[in-house]
Amino acid sequence: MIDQLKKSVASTSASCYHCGELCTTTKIVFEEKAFCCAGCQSVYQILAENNLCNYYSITQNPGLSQQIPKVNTYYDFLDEAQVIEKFVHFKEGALYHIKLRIPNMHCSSCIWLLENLNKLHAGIVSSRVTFLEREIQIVFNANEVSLKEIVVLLKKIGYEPNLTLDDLLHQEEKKQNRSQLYKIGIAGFCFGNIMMLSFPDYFASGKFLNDGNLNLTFNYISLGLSLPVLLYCAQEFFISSWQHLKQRRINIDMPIALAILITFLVSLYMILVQNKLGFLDSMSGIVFFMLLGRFFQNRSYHYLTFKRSYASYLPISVNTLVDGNEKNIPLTSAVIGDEILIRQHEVVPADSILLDDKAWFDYSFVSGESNWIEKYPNQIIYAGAMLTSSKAQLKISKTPSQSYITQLWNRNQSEKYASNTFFTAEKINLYFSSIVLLLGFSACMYWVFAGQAAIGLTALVTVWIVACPCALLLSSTFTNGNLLTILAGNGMYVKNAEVLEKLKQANTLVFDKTGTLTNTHQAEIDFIGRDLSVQEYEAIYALSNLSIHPLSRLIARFLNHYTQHEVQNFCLYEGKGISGTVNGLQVQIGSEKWIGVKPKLSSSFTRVFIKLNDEIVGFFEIKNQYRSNIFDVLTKLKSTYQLHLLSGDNDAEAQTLTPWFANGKNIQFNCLPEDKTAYIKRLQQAGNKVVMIGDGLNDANAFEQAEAGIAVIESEHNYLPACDIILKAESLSKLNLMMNYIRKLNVILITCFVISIVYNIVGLSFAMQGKLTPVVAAILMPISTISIVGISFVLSNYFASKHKLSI
Amino acid sequence: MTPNEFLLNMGVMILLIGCSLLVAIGFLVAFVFNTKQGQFDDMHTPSVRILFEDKKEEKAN
Repeated sequence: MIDQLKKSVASTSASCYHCGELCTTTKIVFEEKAFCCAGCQSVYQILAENNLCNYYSITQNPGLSQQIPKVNTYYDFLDEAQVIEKFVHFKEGALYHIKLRIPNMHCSSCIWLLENLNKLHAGIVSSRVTFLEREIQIVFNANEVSLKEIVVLLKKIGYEPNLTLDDLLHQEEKKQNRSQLYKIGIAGFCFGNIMMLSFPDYFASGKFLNDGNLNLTFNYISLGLSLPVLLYCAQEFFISSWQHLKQRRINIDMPIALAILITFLVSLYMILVQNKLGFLDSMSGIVFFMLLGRFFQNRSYHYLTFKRSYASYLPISVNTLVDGNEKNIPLTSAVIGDEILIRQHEVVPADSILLDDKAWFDYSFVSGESNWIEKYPNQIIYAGAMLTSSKAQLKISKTPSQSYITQLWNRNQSEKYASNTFFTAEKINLYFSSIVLLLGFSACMYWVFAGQAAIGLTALVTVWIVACPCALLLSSTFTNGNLLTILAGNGMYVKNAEVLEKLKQANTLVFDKTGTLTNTHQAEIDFIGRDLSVQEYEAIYALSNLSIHPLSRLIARFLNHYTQHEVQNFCLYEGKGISGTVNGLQVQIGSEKWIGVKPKLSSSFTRVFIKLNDEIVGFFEIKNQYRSNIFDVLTKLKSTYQLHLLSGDNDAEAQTLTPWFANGKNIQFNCLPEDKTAYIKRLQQAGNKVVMIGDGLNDANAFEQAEAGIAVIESEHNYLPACDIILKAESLSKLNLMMNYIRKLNVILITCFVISIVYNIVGLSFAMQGKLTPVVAAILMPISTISIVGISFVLSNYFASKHKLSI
Repeated sequence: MTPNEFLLNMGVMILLIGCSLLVAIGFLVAFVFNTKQGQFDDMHTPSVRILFEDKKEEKAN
């Protein structure tokens, strides 16, 4: 029955001119250039027709692969006046200014192309990119082009904008960022001028300006300048420490706030009563440098896209049914009781009740499980579920802001608090602040008992200022920030510093096989069986395109040059296969047992069988392709870590993998997501610190169970699952280097810690003797901070280059 | 130094301080104004944009 009828697969090493990927399954040659798929070629064609080929000369292969079949999106809602209004910032007659988020932009070619959109369509007046925000601002003439046309054009050239509810709520962040700049500017201005006014005092210790009036003027101007620093710039320190104090917690901001306040009060006393210049220069200096440090820290977080809220999963608009007529309205104006219509692959925007007889939903956005759930009338569908059957009618039962996913999101946020590491700010605060407070008091006491109360007061204040723990705090935040930036540059995006700490402590790595060790997009596929007609191939393509199962995805990609048809009676049999009717042809795709083939001797390859109208026509044979260098990486990791492999697949390839996983003892095949979680739990109970490395879709629960979860993704703009770290697939070959690099974190931190301790001891010993004048304190403070930051920067870059990571 | 001379000296000092503060405040206002306009919103793209060559294709012709 089964003949060996191999479909020809062009095997070639040419890489795609557009995206740079190897042309493995198909190769299209157009104008003497190789393309990996029709999508890439059509993007090239559009650009070539419009004389925009400069795109390819700025960076090599700047495009993104168009191979992964894109989910069809309906942009009809972009024609609704209400929706357009949400996007338009500014209107000048027919000229509309809009802002869109395009997560795909990644290089200078992208910037160039996106800023030359006016060459692609005459209706677009100008476009401007904000790269770090991944945003584009477009001015267009509404008489010549519509918002929908622009979005479709962007999608055509490979830059599909992100149109979710979150993007409408995006504006507020910006303003906050600006207020930070104002604060830095004002603090810097005040700091500089107060320092200038203090100069005579530094050098002549007040004698030069012995005359009261001039001295007084200087002091009062300084006081005036320090007020905006205290009342405006330092606001965030006071607010956050007050908030923590109310919850009986100590945080980083507290000693800073305390130091600022005490310095100000003492200076106020000195100026008003003693007629002396206080320490206002130091006070404004602290504020200025702390704000500057935070600014740079925040900037390094810009590269990360973790800052997503639940709103980024929800659509902007929703199709409501009013008296049987479809009407597209913005989600924000949807109310409870509205009947809505959801199409295939659309996300349910609010908790709703199903009105149809039956529908399939994919809850992976909410739960991380890629299992599909069948729903019946009057059952509740939670927001965030994606419809996998063709159409469904729902009735909204809760507004989006009260939906389950929102609550889930909020709960997760607050849980991310606990941590117990040596270098946490809390511990530094607790120990350091109490020691410093104690030292200050005892020095003061000593001088008071020695009969020199004035020196005592100076000692008290200078001890507190000079020992301000900001050098310590900055060293850890800055080192972490710098490390995160370097890792991000190498394709590893770590959520925050706490995760870095967990990676550092890990001793066990658990791998997922499919999609992690193997490349889901590069498997070798053959169809073995009888000759199929085009209609039959189209039917198989249409059905396989509906499932998100990796094997189904592979088949869909293999057949993606066929036309898409609608599938009726779609059914999913979990762990077995899928079935449906396409143009009257009944198609079943699934495992051999389910299809009804007698199991043969176990083959070393994965096979997916096809049944058309009760006839078993053959099977797809899928040979996994391991990622390049993956075995080198495993060998190197093996010496430091305990390696485990959990795979949802059969044990076909056990032989290949045993050498790296304790001779097969640490391998488990046919795992369900629950098995993976349980396995990790067992490892943890045995005292191991586990890092899970998976491809993100069905590993979400395992990620949560493990100390840290690394999701390996093919491209940056994929759906980001609930994980702590995102690793670009091509960077997996550098995993061992990056893990070693992270383990060097302690060396850097301890070096900085020791140096700042030395600074503090020197400073303190002078301060306690009452010998420290404001000039020394004011110079020592920034110098210690800057040198610590410098040392941490140099060290982290040195280790990065030593581990062959790009800086 | 007579009291008059002294007052004169001091007055000059205070005048100078006032002037320098005014100049500095001018710069601060300019900074705040520019920030408000959004000039500091994007600190990365302009550095890339400046390196683009315009009309490369036409040169080739």
